[in-house]
Amino acid sequence: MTRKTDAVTELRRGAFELALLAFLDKEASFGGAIIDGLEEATKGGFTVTEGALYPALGRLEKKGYLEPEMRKDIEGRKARKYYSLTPDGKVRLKELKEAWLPLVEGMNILFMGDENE
Amino acid sequence: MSEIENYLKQVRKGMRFVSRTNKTSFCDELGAQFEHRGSLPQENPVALGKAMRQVYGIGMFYRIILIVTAFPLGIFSIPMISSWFPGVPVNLFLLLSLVWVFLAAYYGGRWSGLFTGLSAATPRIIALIIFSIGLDFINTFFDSYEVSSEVTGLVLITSLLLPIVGFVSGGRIRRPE
Repeated sequence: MTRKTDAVTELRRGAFELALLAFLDKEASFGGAIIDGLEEATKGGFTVTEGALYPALGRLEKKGYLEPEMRKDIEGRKARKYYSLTPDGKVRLKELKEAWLPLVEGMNILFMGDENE
Repeated sequence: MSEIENYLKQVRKGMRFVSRTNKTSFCDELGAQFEHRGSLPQENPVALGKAMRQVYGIGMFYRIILIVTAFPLGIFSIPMISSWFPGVPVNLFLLLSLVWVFLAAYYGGRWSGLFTGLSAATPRIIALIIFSIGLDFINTFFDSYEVSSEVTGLVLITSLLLPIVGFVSGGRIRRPE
């Protein structure tokens, strides 16, 4: 069975890795908090489901961009798996940012027209 | 059974063949999320489990099973064997070996694909060496046994292709995001 992916899904998928790395660069976080935090930090621009988040976290961890750490914040509660960026993750974030920013700038000019014109 | 326990049971079902450590670790992570958010994940649990299986791959035990079982498949795919046992469908076994290699590559990654391919190729290469070097010895038991250069070449190429296909396809298969 093939899954149909449209352009919007592809766009969001491409930006998701960058969003995740940028979010975790600010502070280490765990699954549930990432879902809420990312939505809040992007003012609803990024709504993430568990089905997208956990495989993405797993892939980034496997690639060596994220480092997990089990923390027990509150006694009697389950330990949470906090993810933080590794040095490789920081390099990857820098690369993606450098590719992303001119792209966004260019697209904004395309959509709204160059104000200097 | 509570709703989260039931949900995690379904996730585990989706993560069939994944190592116990990874299954437990991921279910603990989901359990902690449930504790934090107070609601079940929106995702279908089996689909979520399957998506995680694509990330972790199958467990070492299952990878070894695929590697070990590829060896007898390789033996029965040796064309020369059909001279002694005409009923053996060697081409079918070669096809099965290839399917085995793809399975290992898809679920276990490129190294599983490579080792499963090597396991299937090993008896074929050994047979090729025996039939190339020891043909005179073999013919002391079987009169005028011959192996044509076409068959030799075909066995060599297909044997080399098995591990290569496993390694290359393991890295190229596009897994669902």
